[in-house]
Amino acid sequence: METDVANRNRTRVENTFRVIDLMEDLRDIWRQSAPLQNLTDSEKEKLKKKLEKARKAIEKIEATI
Amino acid sequence: MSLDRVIIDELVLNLNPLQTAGRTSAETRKAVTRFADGYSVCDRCNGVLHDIEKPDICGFVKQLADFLGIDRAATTMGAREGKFAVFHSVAQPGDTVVVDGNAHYTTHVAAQRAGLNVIKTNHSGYPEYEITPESYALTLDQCKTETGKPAAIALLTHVDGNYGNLTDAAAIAKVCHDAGVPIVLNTAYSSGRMPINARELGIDFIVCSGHKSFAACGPIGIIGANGEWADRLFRLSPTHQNKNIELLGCTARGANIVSLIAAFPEVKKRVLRWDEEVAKAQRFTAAMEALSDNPGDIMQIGMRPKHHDLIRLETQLFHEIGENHRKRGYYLSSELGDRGIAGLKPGQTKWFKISTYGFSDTQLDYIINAFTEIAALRF
Repeated sequence: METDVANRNRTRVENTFRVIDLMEDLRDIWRQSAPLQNLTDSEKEKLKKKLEKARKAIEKIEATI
Repeated sequence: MSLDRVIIDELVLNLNPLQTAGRTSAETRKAVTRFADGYSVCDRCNGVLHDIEKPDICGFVKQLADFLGIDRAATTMGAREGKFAVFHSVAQPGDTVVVDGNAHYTTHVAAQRAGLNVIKTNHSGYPEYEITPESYALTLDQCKTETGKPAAIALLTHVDGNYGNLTDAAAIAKVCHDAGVPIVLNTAYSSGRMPINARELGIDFIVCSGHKSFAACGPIGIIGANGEWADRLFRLSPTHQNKNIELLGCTARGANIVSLIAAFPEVKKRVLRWDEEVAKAQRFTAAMEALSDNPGDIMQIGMRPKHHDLIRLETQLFHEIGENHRKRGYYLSSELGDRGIAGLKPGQTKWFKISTYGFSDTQLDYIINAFTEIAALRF
């Protein structure tokens, strides 16, 4: 396999797992704040950072298409 | 076919005692995702599951043995499979096993599968249902009198699933050893929640449940043995080199064992916070019993004070509300559901079991407040 292809595929898969992992982190935030999910300011900040990281990972996947 | 769960832990507080200490962490679910394929832990296997080094199952089972105070440990598919393996190793068909009067049905079924006769000890009866060392002494004597020989093995349910009673395993182990009978401790509701050292308790065999008390997705359990019993439990096939007979070669070989490995670092930490969990259980019980001035309206069943998060309550107060409610007995689970609380059997109002394990103080306050609001429907 060409090195470029191997790197492209690795980027796709690594970022796929990255998104999945970040979504699991989100699930823990929902669980820890259930049932009302009234987040504190620091929890909101944490959540936003994870969403931003997920967006970036998705963008990296899209860039390989 | 929908595979959506009925109870979604991200949306509700789930009080089901079967499930509270089996909830997985994000780290565990991330690991499970990577090993969801069948036989996924076997990429670098040389024929023995417990010798695999990548992922490090070999090192992990040694850590498990240290954690449980046992000479040798292995994973199984659950506590019930562990009980069968122990019974099958130690006893012959027609032998007798002595078990506590609060033993789980799987203890009985495991003994039956091994061809054993079962004699149950007494418990102290309503309302505490306590299992005592004296009851084991009496039942071991009874076994010898009735069958002409000692029991082949005794089993003690460390914490039972009906009342959440914590038994005196060290004292009962001594009684069994004085009678020349080995003992297996069923820790499905204790190890992984609270610190346990089988060696210090004088226990010969231990069985554990990963999906019940080690925050693993499972199905997965642990068996272990001390001293000479370890050689007997983990004996190898005479025809297939390195294949363990009781484990049928290999047991959990996928996402289930990986979930146990991933959960283990946090489990080691959380057992050290067991006192906090007991305090929460006692606080919840006191708050529930304080919902009425009449002691019979809400009453904790089982030994007092609580030393475990599994709490059984008789709830005449909630039953009376249901008699005059348009939803009858279903009102209670409905009212709780409206408040984002799940885990009680729909229609059940005379009594129920719940677990306070793993909830934050804020969440516990929320649960107590919900029951307080529902109790006010009586007036």
